[in-house]
Amino acid sequence: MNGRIQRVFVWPALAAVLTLLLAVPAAAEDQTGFKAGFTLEHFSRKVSWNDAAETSKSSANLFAARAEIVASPGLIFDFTAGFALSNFNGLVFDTLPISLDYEAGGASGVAIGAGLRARIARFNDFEIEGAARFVYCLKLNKTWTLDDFAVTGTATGGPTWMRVSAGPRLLYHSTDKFTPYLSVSADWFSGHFELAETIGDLSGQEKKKIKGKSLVDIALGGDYKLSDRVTLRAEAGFLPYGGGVDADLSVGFLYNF
Amino acid sequence: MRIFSQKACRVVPIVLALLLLGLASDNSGQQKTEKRNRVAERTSRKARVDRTVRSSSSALATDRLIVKFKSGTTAATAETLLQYHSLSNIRRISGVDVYRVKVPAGVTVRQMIAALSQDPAVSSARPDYRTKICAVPNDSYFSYYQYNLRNQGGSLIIADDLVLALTSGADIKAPAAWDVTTGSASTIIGIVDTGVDMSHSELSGKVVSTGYDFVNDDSDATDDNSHGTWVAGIAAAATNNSSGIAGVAWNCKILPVKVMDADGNGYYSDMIEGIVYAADNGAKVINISAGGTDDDTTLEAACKYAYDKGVVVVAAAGNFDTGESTAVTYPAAYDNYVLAVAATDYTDAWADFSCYGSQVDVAAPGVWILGPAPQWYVGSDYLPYIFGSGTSAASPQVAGFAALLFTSKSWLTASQVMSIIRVSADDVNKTTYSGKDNYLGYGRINMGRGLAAYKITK
Repeated sequence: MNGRIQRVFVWPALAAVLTLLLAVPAAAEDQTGFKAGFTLEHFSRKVSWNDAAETSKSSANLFAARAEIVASPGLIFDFTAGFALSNFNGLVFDTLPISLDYEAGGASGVAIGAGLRARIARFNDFEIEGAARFVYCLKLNKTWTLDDFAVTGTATGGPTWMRVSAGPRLLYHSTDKFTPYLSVSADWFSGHFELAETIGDLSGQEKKKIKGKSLVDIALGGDYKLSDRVTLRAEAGFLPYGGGVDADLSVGFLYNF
Repeated sequence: MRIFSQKACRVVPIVLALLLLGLASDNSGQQKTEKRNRVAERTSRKARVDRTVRSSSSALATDRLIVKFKSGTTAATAETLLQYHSLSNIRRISGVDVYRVKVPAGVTVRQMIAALSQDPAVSSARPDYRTKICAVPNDSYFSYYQYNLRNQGGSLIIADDLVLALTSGADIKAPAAWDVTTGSASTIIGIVDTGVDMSHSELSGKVVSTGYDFVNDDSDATDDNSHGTWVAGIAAAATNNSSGIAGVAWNCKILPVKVMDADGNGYYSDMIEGIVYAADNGAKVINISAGGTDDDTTLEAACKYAYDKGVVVVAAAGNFDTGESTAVTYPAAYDNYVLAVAATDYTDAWADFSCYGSQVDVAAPGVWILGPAPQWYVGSDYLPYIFGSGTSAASPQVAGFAALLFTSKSWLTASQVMSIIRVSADDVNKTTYSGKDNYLGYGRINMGRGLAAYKITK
């Protein structure tokens, strides 16, 4: 079945893309410079824990400042730093003296990230670049009150996670204003959620390792230049895994200094 | 060396007297344990106990659905569709090829069924009905008689002249705990008492060995009194076997240790040996529904020995009659090593015979508690079960709880198990005594809270 799909769809599609690459004239591009702005990202991940015996759905929202440095034509570094709200509802901490089922929604954290995009090839208005990015979210400890017990207890902790992606990106410099792209990247998501429980003289701590199930991110995105200075950027992706699909969505703007 | 002996009296046909355990000194000043005829027991009359189990009506879960897709729908498509409808906790049940899902907050099950029914890929969307098959045992007497495990209110008719007005919820929340675990054969409860009727249908498959009889110094801890059989059954009777009663720890095993004689009298020395024997022979929990009024360093040392080996020692706080000492008896009073258990009644009120003091840790229902009895004890006209009252009945419920905790989390220390039992209790007398008090300690045990995961919300 896979062979048939390749014959029918993949090779003709690649042939068409190559033809277009060679046929379309080149568009304008940034030389060197510095851009800064904000980005808002949301993504969901099916995560497994307890050595993959259990799964639950997680999601995260990031609001971050973003800076891009165009070091040379076709070589761009980007950096992000901001705030993340990560939702790991459904995680059960069952090695604590009294088990805790996390259903408290978003837990805050500090997110930092960095990325690199480097041109691999350019054919007229088409360009292939390699892109790699990581985002690391460090927990900001939060304390929840456990108030149904004979003595009031607390649970303190939060999630820490990292997302790494890398893969090729095909850009089409259709006009001076709009540059759509398609990317296919390997995507790893892993981390841990740590909780410390104290109820009277009872205490315990558990670190729950979590790992994303999806491994490939297929995304469509684009940069739209509102003006010479301001660029809007949006991207939507999906990450299939056995039995389901995860999703990514990001929007942002950059100011060109 | 034996000093005091008091015979349990039987009042036939309905009321059979039974006893509390206390300590007394004989003329020579030696210590011993004894039964006091303070606590009454009644046999279950045939007409009553043959009553069939009342069926509980099904109720649909308010946040779960079962969804089936039309044939040809791939798993990926199905899950995508379910996620599109904001359903979470998606679990595919292979074999029958359906999905169990959680309905988002703010949407009713009915609304979600209506929405899913519009989806052309969905074959059916049905409520996820609650079932009690696993959590609620099918033992004949569970639903009606064992209010201590699940109290649904109403009246409990023990005899024509004895009708209890039950308060719904005045129980130890056993079904919620049984959703987590019903125990395992590797968790052993030592019953340090008058022995166990090992031929009783509720207990024959539950004992790990014939135990040890420290009264007669042989390895046959057969009960010649009935008290130990009753206590053992409350803790861990054979359960979900369509007959008889339910024990607190369904699948846990019993180690019989006989330290009191046919009259319910014994010595501290036998109890000390019994505690050490149980700790050395695999017991993770030791129940002592007995006690004495005198402090004894060796008895305390035996409790410490067990505690240091990771064993939870649970003991009845003791019962008092008019004019008797109300102080918590020993070994329950050894605060550092023993959980002292007081008794509540069928309304969650303190039982007025339950000894009190600062050593009381928790309470459990102890009034008219049904448990097994040797057939010879009740006579051939009666079923081998008796109702009884006393902290003797409350203690094995806590012991069963401890056994379930060890089963669920084998890495817990004795100290942790004791703490969980304390902090998870319901402060049922908080309007009078808020917080820990001398009557019920931290409160009446809540097994569900101690065993099920606590939901952290906002």
